[in-house]
Amino acid sequence: MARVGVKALSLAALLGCWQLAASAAHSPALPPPAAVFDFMLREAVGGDLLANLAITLARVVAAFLLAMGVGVVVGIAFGRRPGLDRALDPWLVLLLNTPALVITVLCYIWLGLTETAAVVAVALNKMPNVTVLLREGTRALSPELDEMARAYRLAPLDRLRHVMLPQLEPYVAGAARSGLALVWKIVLVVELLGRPDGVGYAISVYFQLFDVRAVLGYALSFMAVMLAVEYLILQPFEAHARRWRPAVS
Amino acid sequence: MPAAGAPQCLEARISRKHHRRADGATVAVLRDVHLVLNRGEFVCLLGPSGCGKTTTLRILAGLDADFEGRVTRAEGPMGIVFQEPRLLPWRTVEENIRLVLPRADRSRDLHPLLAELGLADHAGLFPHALSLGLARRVALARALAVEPDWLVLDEPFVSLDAAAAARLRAELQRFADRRGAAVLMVTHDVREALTLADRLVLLAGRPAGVVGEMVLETPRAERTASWVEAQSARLARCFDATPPAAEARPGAASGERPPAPV
Repeated sequence: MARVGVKALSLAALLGCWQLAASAAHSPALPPPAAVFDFMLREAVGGDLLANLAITLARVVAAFLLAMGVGVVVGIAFGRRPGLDRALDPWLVLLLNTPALVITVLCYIWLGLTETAAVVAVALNKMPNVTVLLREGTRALSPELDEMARAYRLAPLDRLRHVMLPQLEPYVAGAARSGLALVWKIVLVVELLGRPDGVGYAISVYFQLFDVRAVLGYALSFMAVMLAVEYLILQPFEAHARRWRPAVS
Repeated sequence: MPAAGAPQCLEARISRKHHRRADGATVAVLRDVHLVLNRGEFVCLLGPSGCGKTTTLRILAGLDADFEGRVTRAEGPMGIVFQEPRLLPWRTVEENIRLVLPRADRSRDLHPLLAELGLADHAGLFPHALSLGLARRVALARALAVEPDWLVLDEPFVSLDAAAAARLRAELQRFADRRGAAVLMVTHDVREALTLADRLVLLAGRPAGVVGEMVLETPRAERTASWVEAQSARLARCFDATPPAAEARPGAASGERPPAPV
């Protein structure tokens, strides 16, 4: 409980600083918290806020699942087959170092200004990262447990589910949490560049109107959604997957 | 004691086995190892630490195919106990055991087995909560759960206190007798081998080879502490004092038994 108290206090202090800075600046470039919350409430009830949040969230989920799915499989394959890894590692490094903006622009050019292009662009930005993490995880698999599984002739599916995946779970969880943060940040840029809706689009519109209140309102709303995903889905999932470990105080 | 000429469970002729070191050099580990395990027989593979016993066992169990020679195994399930328990830390004791069972058999009642091995109260625990002795017992339970025709054990009782080791030995013995399973156990503990085995196979040298065999005809029930001491002294006289040339060892080349040790 004390920890929750500290967190709440810290958050309140941040709001206090914001309020003080806004009062001192007294400019539309930095609206006070109350104005932003007022905008959020009004837009949620009568405006497009919820619709835009839902659209962006759907894109985040699609891109995230695509990046994780492909990234995990490719990462395991690279970790298991050193030959494949040597042959395709330069591709991976290249993709890893291609700027998000370039990937996005190219996807829009090659696939058109479509939903598919947006999701693929976001996924491609995240995927190499997942692959690198899972490759490390696969290289660290225990040869002893693998030998045990072979000795007892476990079916491939059992080996995957009971022997391999639990060992890879920390790497998957790490990739998922860092991935979610990266994906939702990139999604907004991708929306800004080529989608007629979503949080990124809304922010670009309000940017052109120089409506900082709305920009902050949209940003805070979406951050709240992503925090909820983190605390309500990712962390409980991780806690469940870690339940066998000795408790660390 | 199985009759002579009982059908074989396992026959291995390993003519050569090399390990590759990190610097690329190869080291010969085994040479001309010929080993037979008959049905229902309890064989102990004895030898000094680091002489290649585990390597031999891994080849026999089919876990290492990188050797020159041939291994023939009878069909039928194999149970294996490694030197370390090798349990899945993210599965409970019971799940660890169930996992190695054939699919159709997964929901079988494991309670009798768990109870027999004193694990009934630990079925729901994760391995990290177990002492080493308990973890070893789970590893043994897992090997027995598959109702193996032959069991392979790699120093399964090492670093246990004497009482725990004795109890596990007795459990293993009981199972092997009841099921008629063949057992091949690696150990460097001569007394343990003398207590349990129908036959001892001695491995030594560099590269290691079979330097002797000894058939123990005394029924296990009659193997008293003084008998074990006497046999162990006899073994030491035979094998420790002579140079490691296989031909110089009693019973090595021909596989004949040394004078009946009764």
